[in-house]
Amino acid sequence: MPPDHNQQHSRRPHYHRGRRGPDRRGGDRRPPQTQQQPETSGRDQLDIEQMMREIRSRISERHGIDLSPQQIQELAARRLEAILDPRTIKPSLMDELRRAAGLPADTTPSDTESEDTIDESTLYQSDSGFLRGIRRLLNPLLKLFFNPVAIVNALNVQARRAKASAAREAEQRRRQTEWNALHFEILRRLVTDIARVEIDNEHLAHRVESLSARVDFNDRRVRGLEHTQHQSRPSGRPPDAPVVSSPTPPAREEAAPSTTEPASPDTSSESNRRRRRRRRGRRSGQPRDMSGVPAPGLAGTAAVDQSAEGDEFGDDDATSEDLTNDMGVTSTMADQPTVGDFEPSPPDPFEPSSPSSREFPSPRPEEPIQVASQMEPVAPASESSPASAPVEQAERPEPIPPEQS
Amino acid sequence: MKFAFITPRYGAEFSAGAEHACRLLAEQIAKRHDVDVLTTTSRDAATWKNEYSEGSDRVRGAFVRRFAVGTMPERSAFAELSRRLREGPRSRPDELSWLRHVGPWSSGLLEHIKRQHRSYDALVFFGLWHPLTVSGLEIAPERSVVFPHLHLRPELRFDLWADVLTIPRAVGYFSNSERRLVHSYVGVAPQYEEVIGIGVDPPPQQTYPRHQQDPADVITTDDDSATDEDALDGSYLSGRGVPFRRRHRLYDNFALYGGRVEPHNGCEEMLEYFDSFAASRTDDMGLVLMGVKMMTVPDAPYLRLAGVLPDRERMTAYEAAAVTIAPDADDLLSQSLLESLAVGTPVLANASNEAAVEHCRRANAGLYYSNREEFVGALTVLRTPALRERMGENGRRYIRHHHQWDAVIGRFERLVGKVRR
Repeated sequence: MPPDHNQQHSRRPHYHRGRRGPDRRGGDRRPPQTQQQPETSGRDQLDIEQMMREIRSRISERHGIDLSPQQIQELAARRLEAILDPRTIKPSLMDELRRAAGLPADTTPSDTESEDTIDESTLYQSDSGFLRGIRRLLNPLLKLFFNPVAIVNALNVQARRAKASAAREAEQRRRQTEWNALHFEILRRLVTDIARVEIDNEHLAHRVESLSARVDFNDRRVRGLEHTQHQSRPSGRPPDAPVVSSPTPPAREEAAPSTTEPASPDTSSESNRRRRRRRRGRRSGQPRDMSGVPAPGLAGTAAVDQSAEGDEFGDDDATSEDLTNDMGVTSTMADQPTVGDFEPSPPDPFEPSSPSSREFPSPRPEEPIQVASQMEPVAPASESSPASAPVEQAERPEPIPPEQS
Repeated sequence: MKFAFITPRYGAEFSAGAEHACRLLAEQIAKRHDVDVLTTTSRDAATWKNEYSEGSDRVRGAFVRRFAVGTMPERSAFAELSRRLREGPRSRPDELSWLRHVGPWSSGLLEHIKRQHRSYDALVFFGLWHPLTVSGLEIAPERSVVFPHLHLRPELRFDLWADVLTIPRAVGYFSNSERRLVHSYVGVAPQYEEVIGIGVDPPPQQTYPRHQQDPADVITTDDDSATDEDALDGSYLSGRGVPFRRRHRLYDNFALYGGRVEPHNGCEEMLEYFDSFAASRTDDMGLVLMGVKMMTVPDAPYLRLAGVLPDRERMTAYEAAAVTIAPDADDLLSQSLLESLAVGTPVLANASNEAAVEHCRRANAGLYYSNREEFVGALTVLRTPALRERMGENGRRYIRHHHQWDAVIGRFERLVGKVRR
């Protein structure tokens, strides 16, 4: 049954009614089969693993031969196949080992291990009574030709040896079964540990990659700080020296801040307006970096910090002085959460005795302190109401703060 | 039904780990069943000091009983003990001693379970690494469920965990990777087990912006978007998350990270990789960090901080982003990833986080990276709008089918039903 498009249109917001283009034709002209798509139609067109393989192959093309873990495993499996030659290794060895590991050793004596002993009468035994009689009659005659006792003794010795051999074989089988069980257990544990080591190895590889990236990150940070100190020491500029920054920062490629270019009257008035707005919520105090020297290189960070406290991103046009002032907050609390970051949510009127709504923990970097979803929304300095949206659209060309370093 | 949720810490301020998962589940399940959260008065997992007041409380709909923590062993010996047990042979008393050092120990809580366990249909323990679970599981194993919330750590080689995981009647997981860890690493196949996960409620469709001058910004309902192909064009996509974009003056595509900005959860790595990406590109794709800032971020023109946002605005931020980055390697719940998928934004996850990778693969709605080149390559691929649109649709469908709270609670009830039988 085709969907009722008129009903759908009646649910749509009123501003859709005036739309031009294909919507104006009405729902009855649209193809009706768009609603009930097969469940996996969208998924079939995408294969994430295939995309990742393509990305990795592109990377490997750039870097030369770079085997993926899967390829390495395939190579290892082939090598293992070569070691486990089917001509020399019984294919069902593992199954037998597994079976034998769970079974008790088979040490029952064979049929040859009878307790019967051979004596002289055994030589003349027969099922036929007539034959037994004849043999008994001719027995003295037979003893004239040879000594049957020696034969009886030899047979007895042979029987004893056979019995001992069977016992040894049973003992050996029992020991072999125990060894098989032990080998199987060792093998099982070995395989388990190899699996664990592989998991550990993969985890550690990721960890190494992550740590190397963090090392690079910290190297860059150190270089930035050193560069900043190097620049700020010989200058000796008084802290209240007027600095004028470009009110409309260029794009990233041309991000070098022009500190001498005068601002145009329009943008400077806009800048002043924003600067006043920023200053309302700023902390007092002389900005210093970690060495106690004003560090304009961290100005961008300071701007970011302000935004983290709920300020808008649009404060990109703040002057270097403003940003340097803010830098004091950042540098002295570089690795500590800012006050605004831990602003507690208001107490819930329905949970008067909730400790979580009464008090908040002291900020500790290594412990979860505040979940983003539970925190109070940080009120921006100026919320964009729908009516003011077109005005803000006109302010579009200045979104990115200049790179200060 | 009446459940007891046992967790070492409980509160709205915990945003990660088994405690967070416990709270998320307790708040949702408390809407349908009676839930008593049995926890301690501690807040700091390092010292286990008694900070909350002892007694009963109600936190976001869940009834919470807090019990005092007993004296903890000397902390200074803990590191040495851990090192010795990791590197050398260990016995069961050693492992139990290590567990006592981890803490917390609350005899009042265990006594309460002993006295009252018959009044609960199920005892649900969260987290395997603390003595409350190990001792509490032995009280009523036939009615116990444990959510181990396992990570790959050296201590997982202890033989203790295999024995502990065989005690309860059922084991619940937050991801398939956790289940694989229990099976292949710990070597335990529990009697009843189920991957529960956590849920995400997709935000109600908002008719923003509220003026009608720009119909391209309109977000229609799901039904409309499914039936009206004409509405699903580039202008629609560009209008996603308009309030967030306008508030923060973001006019170009941007990648979003939602969570605590701290070095231990992959943020440094992400920032470093993104710097490589930005250096390799000429277009202005920015990176927006949303959440508590606990580290110094570099001075880069592409980088913005959005601060801490409330739930609704957070979802709008995810909606506005071109791609969400999930750099945390230990985030078993992957809440930000799921929230991003719920609003149709593809994700780029850390390959070390198997749970996140699994979500990406199952949903076909995200890529993952294990090094810098993959990060740059994947982010470059994700710049294609058509691909993002398809991934976003896949993500929404995945969340609708598997990670809405109704589905999650259904799985939980199924698991608990096995325990009750």
